[in-house]
Formats: sequence, C-alpha cells, structure tokens
Amino acid sequence: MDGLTTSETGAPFAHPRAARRVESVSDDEDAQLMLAYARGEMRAFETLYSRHRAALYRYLVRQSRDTEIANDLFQEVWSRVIVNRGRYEARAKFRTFLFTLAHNCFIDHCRRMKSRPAGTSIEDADAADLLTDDDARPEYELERAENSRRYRAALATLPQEQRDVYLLHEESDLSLEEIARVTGVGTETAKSRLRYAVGKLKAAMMAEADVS
Amino acid sequence: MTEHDDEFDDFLARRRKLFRRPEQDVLEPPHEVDRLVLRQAREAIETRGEPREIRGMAWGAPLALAASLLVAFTIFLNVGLTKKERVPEVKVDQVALRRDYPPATVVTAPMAGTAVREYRSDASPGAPLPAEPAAEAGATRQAPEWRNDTGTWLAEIQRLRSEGKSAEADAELAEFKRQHKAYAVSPDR
Repeated sequence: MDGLTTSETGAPFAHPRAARRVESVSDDEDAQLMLAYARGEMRAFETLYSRHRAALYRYLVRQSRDTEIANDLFQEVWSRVIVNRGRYEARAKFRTFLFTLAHNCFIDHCRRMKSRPAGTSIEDADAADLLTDDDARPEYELERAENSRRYRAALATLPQEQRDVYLLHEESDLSLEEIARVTGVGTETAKSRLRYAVGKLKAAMMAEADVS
Repeated sequence: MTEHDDEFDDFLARRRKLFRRPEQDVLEPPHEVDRLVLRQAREAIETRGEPREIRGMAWGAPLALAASLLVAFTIFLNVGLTKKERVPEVKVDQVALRRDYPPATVVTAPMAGTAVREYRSDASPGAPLPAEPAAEAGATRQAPEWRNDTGTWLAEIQRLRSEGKSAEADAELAEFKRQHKAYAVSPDR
C-alpha cells in the first residue's frame, strides 16, 4: 500500500503524495473496501483510510479554520464510519457517505459551539507544514505561504453555506448532484451557491494580489 | 453565454483551476490522529462491535419472543396440570373403602351390639354406598336377643337341639356360622 505503513508496525503515513495518488481510484473499489472492512478485514480499512484521509482533513480544516477542531471532527467522522460499517450499502458512493458524515459532524459542531474556540490557528498549522519540507527552497516557501494566506482569507469571507459547497467541490471531488445531496439542498441551489463562492473567491484573491 | 459562465462551467467540470491552492498537498492529519483512527477501526472488528450486534438483533428479537412464549406456555401448563392432579382430601371412610374385605352386605355384629357396615372391596372409592335390603333391615331389627352374645347364642342352639327342635337348631347354627366365619371354617366344626 503506497504511502501507508501497516497498522501492525504502528508507523505513520509516509508521504502525502502517495495518499493523493490513490485518491483517483474508482468509487466501486472504495465500496468493496468498505464492505470488506465490515466483514472484518482491517487491511481494507487501511487502504480506504489512506485514500480519503487527506481530502477529508483539508475539508474539515478549511471549514472549521482551526486544526484542533479539525482533528476532533476528523476522528469523529471516521468513528462514525467505523460504527456504521454494517449499515453501509455498496450502491452509495463511499465518498458521498464519508463527506455526508463530515458535513453532518461539522453542522453538529457549529450547533454545539456558537463561537470559535481558541486553538492552534490555521496559519500556525500551515507554517508548520511548510517548514517540514526540507527540499523546498526558501523563496518558493515564502511565495506559497503568501498564496496560502490569501486563499484562507478569501475563504473566510464566504458565507457558511457557500464555503461548504465550495469545499465539498474542491476537496471531495463530488459531483454537483452529490454535493446537493450531502448538504440537503436542491441541485440548482448548490450550483448557485458554488457560483457565488467561486466569484467571491476569485475577486478576493485578485484584490489581494493587486494589493500585494 | 458570458465568459464568466464558461469559466464557471470549466470549473465545474474540473477542467480549470480558478486559483492556486498551494498548500493542499501538505495539509495532512497528524500522525497521532492516524494512529487513533486506525486503532479504533482495529478494535471495532476485533471486539465484534455494534454492527454485528445490530445484525444479530434481526433474528434475536423473534427468538427472544419465541423463548418467552415457550416459557410462559410451559408455566401455564404446569400450573393447570397441578391443579387437576391435586390429591383428594383423605377421609376415614375413603381409607375404609380401600380395605380388602370379603364380599358382604350388612350384618349385625353380635359382640359389639351395633350394626357394622362392610363394603365390597371392589366397590369404587367415590361410589355411593349400596342401599340395605329392606328384608335384612327387618331381620336385624327382629333378631332374637340371644344372638347378641356368642355364648348365649350357642347355648340356645344346644337347648333347641336337646328339646328335639333339630330344624330350628340347624337354622340357628347356620346363621351363627354365617356371621362367624372363623367358627364356620374351623376344622373341628
């Protein structure tokens, strides 16, 4: 399994690029893996986890804008996957299943927490991530950090519903119909929200670029 | 269709990136979180957690219901049968019914001076007592006084025989033998 050390060794996931590579495999295979895990095959879960962990984590970090909250939500989502493994049916895409759980977890979190609690800021987390790449050149890291900051700032200006639809589109690779199903709205509503989100993000990014 | 619409459609179809997202490749869950999730997943299948219990419930509930009905039915049957087979109350005359007496109707006991009722041994326990024949009842009432005592009765028989009333003496003797079986079967009589 690329990018994933086995659960027997207990070692962490090796490199993010490997996890990104396996994300492109078919949804049918994901469904079969989930069913295999429900039958008790741990290796199937490890493969499934390696495929979707990064995208799910990005979605939750961007949504919550707090890495500690994102960590908690991330665990909660996978916990629900584990608990509901027996109820999963192959006719539903695993990604839709996973991001529906993630969306619901985040909504539950918003209901629980009216205000954003203190925690590790996303700026700190991104900076830490950037510093771990030993091969990157300092000038490139600086440019990437600036671009990242603009992106986060633009995302923060979006209304919750628009940010939700946009992140689902970007991180989960779900279709518009699937995003609509996950968020519980009609397809046209989802499309409209996504259109507004993209327009605002583009405008914000360009404005930031002009200023800098 | 405007340029913005084309651009958006390309974005929807994932043919175009509207802006760079440079950090997406490095934003990863912490290794500790990975370990926690994988450990939870492993423990869930090792301990046969909730999903299998839920599957079991599909047949578990009817089974539990059937078992409960069976137990209830068994208890009901036991209680019902116990009531039906209850031992009847023991009475003195019911015990007497079981004694093995020789066939006899009603006789007068000469020694006690009272009438003793004996019942056939083959009579059913709950059956009503047989009615006394009217003639026998009358005989009991008209029995001579000497029959109340064995010695007197035998002396009377002896007296009748000495007076030459052999027929009467024989009749009395026959009656005496009938009422005193031991005397009747004695080898010297």
